[in-house]
Amino acid sequence: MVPDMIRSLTTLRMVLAASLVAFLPSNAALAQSGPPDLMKLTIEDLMNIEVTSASRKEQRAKDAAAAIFVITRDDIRRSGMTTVPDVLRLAPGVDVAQINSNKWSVSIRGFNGLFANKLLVLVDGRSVYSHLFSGVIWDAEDLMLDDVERIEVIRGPGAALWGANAVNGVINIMTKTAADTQGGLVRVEAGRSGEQGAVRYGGTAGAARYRLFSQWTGRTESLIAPGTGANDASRSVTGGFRADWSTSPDGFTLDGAFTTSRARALWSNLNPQTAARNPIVDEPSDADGGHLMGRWTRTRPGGASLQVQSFVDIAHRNETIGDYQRGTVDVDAQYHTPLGAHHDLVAGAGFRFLREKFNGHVGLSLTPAEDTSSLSTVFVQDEIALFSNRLAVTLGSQAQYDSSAGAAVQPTARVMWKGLPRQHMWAAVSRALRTPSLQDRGIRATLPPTPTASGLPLFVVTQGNPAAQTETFVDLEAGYRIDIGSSAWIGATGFTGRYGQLQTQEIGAPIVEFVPSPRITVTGQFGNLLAATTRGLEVDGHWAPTSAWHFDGSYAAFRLTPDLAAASHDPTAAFLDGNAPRAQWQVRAAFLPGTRATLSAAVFHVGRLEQLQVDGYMRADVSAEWRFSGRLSLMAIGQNLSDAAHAEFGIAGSLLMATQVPRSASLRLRWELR
Amino acid sequence: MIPGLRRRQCRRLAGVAALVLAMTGTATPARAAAGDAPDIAVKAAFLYNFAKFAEWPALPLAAPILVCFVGDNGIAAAFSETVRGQNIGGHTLDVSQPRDSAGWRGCQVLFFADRETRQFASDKGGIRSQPVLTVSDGKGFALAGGVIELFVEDGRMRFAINLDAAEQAGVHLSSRLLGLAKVVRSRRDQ
Repeated sequence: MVPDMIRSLTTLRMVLAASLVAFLPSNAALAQSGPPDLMKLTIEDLMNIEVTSASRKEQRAKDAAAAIFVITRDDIRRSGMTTVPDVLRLAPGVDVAQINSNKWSVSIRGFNGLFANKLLVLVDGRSVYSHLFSGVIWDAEDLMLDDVERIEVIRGPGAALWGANAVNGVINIMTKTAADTQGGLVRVEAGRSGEQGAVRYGGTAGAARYRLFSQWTGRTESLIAPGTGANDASRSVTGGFRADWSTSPDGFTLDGAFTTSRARALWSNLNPQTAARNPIVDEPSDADGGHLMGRWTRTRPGGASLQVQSFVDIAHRNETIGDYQRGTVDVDAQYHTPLGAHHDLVAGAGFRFLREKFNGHVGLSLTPAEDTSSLSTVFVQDEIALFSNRLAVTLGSQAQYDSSAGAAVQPTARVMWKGLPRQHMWAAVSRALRTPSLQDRGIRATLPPTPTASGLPLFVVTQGNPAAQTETFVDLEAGYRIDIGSSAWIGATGFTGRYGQLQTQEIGAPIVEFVPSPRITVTGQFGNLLAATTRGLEVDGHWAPTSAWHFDGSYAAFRLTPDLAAASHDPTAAFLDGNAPRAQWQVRAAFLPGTRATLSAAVFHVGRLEQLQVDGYMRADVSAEWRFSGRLSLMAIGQNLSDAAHAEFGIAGSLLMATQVPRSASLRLRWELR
Repeated sequence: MIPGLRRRQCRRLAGVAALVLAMTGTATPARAAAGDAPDIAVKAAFLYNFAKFAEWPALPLAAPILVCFVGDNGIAAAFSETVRGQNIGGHTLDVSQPRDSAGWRGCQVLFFADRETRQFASDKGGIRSQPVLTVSDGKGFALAGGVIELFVEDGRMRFAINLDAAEQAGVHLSSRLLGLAKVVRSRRDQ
């Protein structure tokens, strides 16, 4: 483990050194070529300059007493990536593992899985966390990346402001306003990993700006082994709109989208009749879903603002394990106001109503099969500026009432010190919770039988616990950031946290049963007998020696130490490592020579997943974009170039089989019409 | 996984890296395009233009124009760097970062970084009726009684002018500026 870390550090150093030497501009004059002389431009010319969002990004990351990283639209475009989970690889400390051609597991600071249950994901403030599965179904959200303004990735608990299940982190995806997407856009791309087409039109109707968009995605099958396809191709179609209008001081937003996808995936065969012959089946994995959201914002003189937002969301999935339907209605209100010169107050309340239905197929059931639940939340947060704004103290808490898990409080206290020039230091202590889902309480899954010496077949059953408890987390974090000149910064965050009442699977004594047929049954029922300590270090930095060169790098180390109660009969919990690599790092470089070309390269290293027995891997991506004009561009993209194929996740803990991600190359044509 | 694979991966990776380096190394680095610029530099340039198209009736002829910054989001540095040696109609440009609101009154231009607009909102010192051109990139600043608010729309910098606020401050803004701005009014009923 330690040698492993040293090895990756050594490699990181070598790569860094090599890239510095090779990328450093040899032409000394280049170092002096700063930004264009904007002072010579007229104000009309200034209004035609396209601005990059870098300072907003840095400001956001600097001002918050939390580990925040912002992925900007420029980062997204340069990366050549086509899915949100892949784009999340750009953020430090995010574990992204592609499970098969159309499914991903994404987590922050451990506890990764097909459904990583401690990470909250929001799209324009709309939660896409699935309550039943306790996680995000990434393939259900086929977002058009051209219309994403930025993605804020918050590592660590965000529960005080964002609410339940924001235990290890929050991913906040913000799409562009309709005013930012005026005119037409056509993008087509195709390559080894699949093809994608997107069209968008943005226009004006009276005081309102709107856009209409549609995206088609086809993903080619992944591999079981190099050269052998996994038959898990997928295709999906999304259509949607967004409209924004404002009649000062009010602003309104209405947006909606519908996605339908048809995919295949490899699953463990739960059918006792055929499992011996075919232990793995490839089955359809179909999903349809949509949402409609409205938001009203009123800004008051004096800087206060009120925002009311509501959404309805429906989803239907048909997988080999069962048929799932969900309906959600959510209303949230939030008020933000400065109070005097020192206080900045945000308070809000929300209510969510959820109806879920699950018809399990062979081997899997849920009790009750149909459930209605609600979640009510209130929160308040005050940021207090002291000592001429050199010290900022943030106190906040969220209180919630979950119709099935009861009442809970999630407080946070944060402090930021800006007393030294160019430096920001912060520390925080927070408590966050993961409430049990319908699955935790009522699942029953029977694995296919295995023969035993006694002659009777052995059935292993996973059984939910109606008395499932809420998982708790208390986290301590501290961060430091320093600006080096005006072109570079480096930041570091350290954390340690303690989890309580984590889910275990308590294996009972074997029972001989005669109904429906003679058998031995071993039941593993969910319990909450595990505690764990996590600790880690995340370092990230940025350097732009000239406006044409951008370098980004990050390193994240993570450890999880399980602490299993003596009374537990869980055979694997004592080996828990969070399904997260102990170390991962990345180095990215972008070169923008003039107006027409953009070149970028990135190397990612993800360490071994010990418990899942998945080897560490490297991922190398390159992209080159050429703009024929301001409107038309062509981009060549290479992804996963460092090997023919590699696995990124294992099967343990899931019935879904992990496959290998192949090397790929693709071409992208993008045409903007104004 | 086969142990040898890792080494092979590394070799292949090195090959890819070399290719990228070769590609980028031979391209001629040109001056950054005027079509794409970091927003703080653009904001600083806008600030310079605002000062150019504003008139302070009581400003003595030889006096410098004092541009003040509250909160630092990099604009102060970008501004100082770019206006070095420039003057506007015979007025030199001075830059200052007042420690507290007592230092605001002597400024001709007063810029509030996004997060510091609350200092403006809670001001009891009557800065609104001083001949100070208040500018911010904070959302809702013009509506809150600030004179000019910078905002980004469609990837480009725009600005809003609160005519009532400009009138109250007694700073005269040229019609060229007003023609390009989104004009808003204070809502006195709230």
